[in-house]
Amino acid sequence: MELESLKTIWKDVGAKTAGTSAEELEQLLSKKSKSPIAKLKRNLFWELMVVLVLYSGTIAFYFVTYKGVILSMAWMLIIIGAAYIAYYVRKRRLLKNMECVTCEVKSNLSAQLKTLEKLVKMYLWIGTLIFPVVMMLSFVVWYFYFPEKDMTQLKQVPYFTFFYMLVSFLFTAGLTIPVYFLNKWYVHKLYGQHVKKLRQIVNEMNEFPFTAS
Amino acid sequence: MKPTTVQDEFLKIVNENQGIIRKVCHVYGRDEAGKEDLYQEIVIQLWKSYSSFRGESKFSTWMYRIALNTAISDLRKQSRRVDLKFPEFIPREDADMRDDAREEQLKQLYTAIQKLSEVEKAVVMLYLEDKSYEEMEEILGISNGNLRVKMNRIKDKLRTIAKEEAYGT
Repeated sequence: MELESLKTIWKDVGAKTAGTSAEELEQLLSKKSKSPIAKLKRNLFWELMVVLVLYSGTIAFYFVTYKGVILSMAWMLIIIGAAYIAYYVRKRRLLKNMECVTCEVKSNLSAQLKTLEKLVKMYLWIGTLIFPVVMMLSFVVWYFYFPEKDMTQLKQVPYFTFFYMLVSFLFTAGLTIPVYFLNKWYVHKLYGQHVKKLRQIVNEMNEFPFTAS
Repeated sequence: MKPTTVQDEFLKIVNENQGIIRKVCHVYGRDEAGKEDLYQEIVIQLWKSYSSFRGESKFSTWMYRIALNTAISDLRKQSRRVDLKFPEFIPREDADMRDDAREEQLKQLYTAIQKLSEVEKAVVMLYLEDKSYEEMEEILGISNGNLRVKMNRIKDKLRTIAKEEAYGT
């Protein structure tokens, strides 16, 4: 197979190709992009909407319905909601920097790989850290307000607070370790293949010509 | 006379250069549905980026960058999207005129290209388009020297694939 001789056939093919009609092309322009990055951006937006609606509704419900210590639940949701907004801003920025289709292919793919690796790291850390934070906040809330049990009697027991906090901490720490590995597995399942393939392509493009065999 | 809008201008240029998009789709699309999907995605990306085209490079160079970036980045399994009629690579009206030997050669070429890596596919495609190494560098961002080495390796690889196909190994 000699490529030089195939150039003419290749060009003929291009010249003979029947085009998509102008109407069909125009119709395409109104379609939404279905690239993985465009999908991630759209998912992120809907995720934000769901969080805003659910969190604001629940927080408002707590403030309207209850008074006293139980309102700490609403404050806990406010803290988690604020953390989510920070996550949203960071992820949005990463996704924006991820794509440059008009750039040279190598620089675009390198940027994509770098950003995707940052995104994966962010998912892993946030997914892992949110668990102990929520658990410890829940234990603190239960310490002050536990609907099923009267905590005031228990608090009279010597060293109760110390042991309560110690057990809460150990329980949370013990569960955080498997959560980390579970999270790692899940993030890898979602993005692992894509990262691997991208890295392989970028490495191939970066290959130094005179050292490779 | 109806004034020419940016969209009209864009559609006209894309229409004139459809061969580029179609060839990229044939090289990178896994099946007919994948080719349709890719075609659609490339046109959308071209339209989204059209306002940023300053004419600093040739339109075909700019188009190749977007088409290849879209094709190579889209690594997931694609699903069928709109009901876009995707014409055959060689239209029916030309079918009677086509030379069987050339047709066979083209078929062999496509089969062989499918066995190359994503990067090699891009390099060989630009080579067949008769792009200079400087233009290839401008599109792909791979250095001239590296491209020449890659091209030699691809030629060897294609010869081996063709031999294997011929002997059925």
